[in-house]
Amino acid sequence: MTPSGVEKLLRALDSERVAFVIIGGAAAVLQGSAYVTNDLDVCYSRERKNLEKLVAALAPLHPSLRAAPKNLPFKLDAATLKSGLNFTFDTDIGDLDLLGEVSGLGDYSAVEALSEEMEIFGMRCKVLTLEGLIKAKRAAGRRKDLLILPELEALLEIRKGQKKD
Amino acid sequence: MLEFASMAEPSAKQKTALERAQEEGVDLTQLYERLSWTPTERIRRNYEGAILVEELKKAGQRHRDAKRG
Repeated sequence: MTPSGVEKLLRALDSERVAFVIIGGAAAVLQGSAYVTNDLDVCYSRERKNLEKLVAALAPLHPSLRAAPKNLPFKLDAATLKSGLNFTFDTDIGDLDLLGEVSGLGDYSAVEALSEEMEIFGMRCKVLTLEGLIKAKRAAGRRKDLLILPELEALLEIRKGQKKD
Repeated sequence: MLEFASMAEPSAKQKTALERAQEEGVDLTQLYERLSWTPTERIRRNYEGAILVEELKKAGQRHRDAKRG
C-alpha cells in the first residue's frame, strides 16, 4: 500500500462516517513505533447502519477476499459483513483487514474505549492507544506480536514521562 | 537470609521499560525521532518505507533467479 492509498482509504471511510478504529501495525506506527507495516487493520462497529456505510465506502475500491480462491463468489454487502466477523480484503489500493473483534480487547465498543483521536491527512481518526496495543499483542501471543512489546512499552514510558513534564 | 533475598529482588525488577527495550535491541533514537513527527508523517514515511522493502525483496528475488539461470 502506498501513502496515497492509505489516505484514499481513510478518506473513503471518513466521508461515509464509518465507525472504525485503526489497530494493528498502522496503530503502532501512529503511536511512534519503528516497525514497518504494509497493510491497514481496522476494527469496525457491527451495527447495521455502520455496515451499510462500510459497504458504501469500500465498494469503489473493489474489495475481494484475500487468499480465497478467485472463483469463490463474494459480494460485499451488509448481509455478508453481518454473517462474518473478521475479513481480509485485497483492494485496488492494497490490503485491508476488517476486524469485528480484537483478541484481548473485544468488540468495537471495547476497542473504541481504548482509542484516542489523531489528525491524519487532515482527518480526525480513532487510533488504538499504546495501552490497547500492548494488551492486544499480549493476548495474541504470537512471536511477531511479542517481538514488538518492548518497543511499545518503551513508547508508553516515554509518553508517561512527557505527560509528567 | 530471606530478608536479604527480598531486598535483592526489587533491584532486578526496577529496570524501566526503556532499559528493557534497549536490552532487547530497540533503537530508542528511532522512537524519539518518530515522536517528533506528526501522525501523518509517521504513517506516510512508514508506507514509503514499506514500498522500499518490497522493492528490495523483489530485487533480491530477481538476483537469486538470475544466478540460478
